[in-house]
Amino acid sequence: MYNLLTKVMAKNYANILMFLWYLFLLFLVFRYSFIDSGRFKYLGY
Amino acid sequence: MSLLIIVLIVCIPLLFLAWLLPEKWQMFPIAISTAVFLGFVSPASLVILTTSSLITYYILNTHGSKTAATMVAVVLVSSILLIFKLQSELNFNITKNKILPLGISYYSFRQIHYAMETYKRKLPAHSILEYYCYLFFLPTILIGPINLFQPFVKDLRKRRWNSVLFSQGLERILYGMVKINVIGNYLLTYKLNLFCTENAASQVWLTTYLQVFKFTANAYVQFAGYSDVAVGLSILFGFKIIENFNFPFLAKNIADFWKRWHISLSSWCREYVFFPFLSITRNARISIIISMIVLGIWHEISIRYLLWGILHALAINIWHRYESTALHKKLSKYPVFQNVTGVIVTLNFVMLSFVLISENSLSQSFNLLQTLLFLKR
Repeated sequence: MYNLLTKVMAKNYANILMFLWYLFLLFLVFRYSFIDSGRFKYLGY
Repeated sequence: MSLLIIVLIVCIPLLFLAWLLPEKWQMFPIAISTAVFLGFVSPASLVILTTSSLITYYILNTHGSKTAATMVAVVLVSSILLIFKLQSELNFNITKNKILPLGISYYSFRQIHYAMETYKRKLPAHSILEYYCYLFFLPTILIGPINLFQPFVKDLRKRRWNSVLFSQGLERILYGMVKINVIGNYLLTYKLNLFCTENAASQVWLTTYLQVFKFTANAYVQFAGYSDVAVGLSILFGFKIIENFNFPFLAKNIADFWKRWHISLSSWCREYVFFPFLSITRNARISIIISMIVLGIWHEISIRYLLWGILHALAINIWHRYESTALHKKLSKYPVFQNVTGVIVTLNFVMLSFVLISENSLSQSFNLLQTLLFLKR
């Protein structure tokens, strides 16, 4: 994705966008981390 | 707190040690902390893994006859796996409380891989410490993949700090967590489930189909997410391990599906079950059935996983038979049509086969199949 971004915009903007993208994903992960996945919690066995 | 989060937290200080200590001491903390982690989370797992790995190493590296040593090691490891798996499924206890050691399915298959490669004399000269690091590698010990010994030792000896790779590892962990939490837990488990519950009375077939899709997609997303985290963590420690998934829902046929789904397990079965049985029986169909039965009961020793394995074996055999027919050759002139049809048929077959393992009993599975196949109103 980063390579794609650097083709259409300056590297500095691409870096900022990637940083925001990671922040957004981190937010989503923490936002929905409370939901139990049922039987898949046993994957470790 | 889930085991995955505990593993991630434990890995943070370990990463500093694994890169900042003098080179020859870098791998000790990973192996030792894995043992400490297992000791805290599941002491039985630590005892079983340590004992079986030491016995296996001793037998394989000191016994004169490689054939006898390999047979003893494979029988020993398989017996331990079978006893604990059977104990968890059937009503008997070999310990005071019923236990299933953490990650036993994965590290048993790693030990058998090590034994078979020793027999083939394909392993490089190595120390017991390298073997111990391989089995006690925290990122893969609980959730796979069944990584191979040779590339692991190669990376262990040649690993160098690379900031680009390190950031790729972090990115991979993040994508894995998104798959587990956002796509698997939120969208599939919570949202799709809500939709199915609300419309269950009015749209019976559609909601049943969506429930089956939910199970199949969730199994993929959760497992692929855990594998992404394991691959990402391994990259952070400087190891490149085998990929476990390659867009399995885009498989064009069932044989292609098994080259894309749980790749480390299917490769293991091909290498250590299919080829040996093929050389004994000279019959590819029977070897496929035996391989898929092993692959099925690796997940759980039960009738439903046995049937699931046999069903996939039959499908692979039918596919190979179809490949040599005139109809297949005729349709090969229209690759787009053939590929699109192939993807749709394969995905729906996989979903239907997952009905066998998604329900608690076979009668529930057959009820669901009857609804899906319009045999029940």
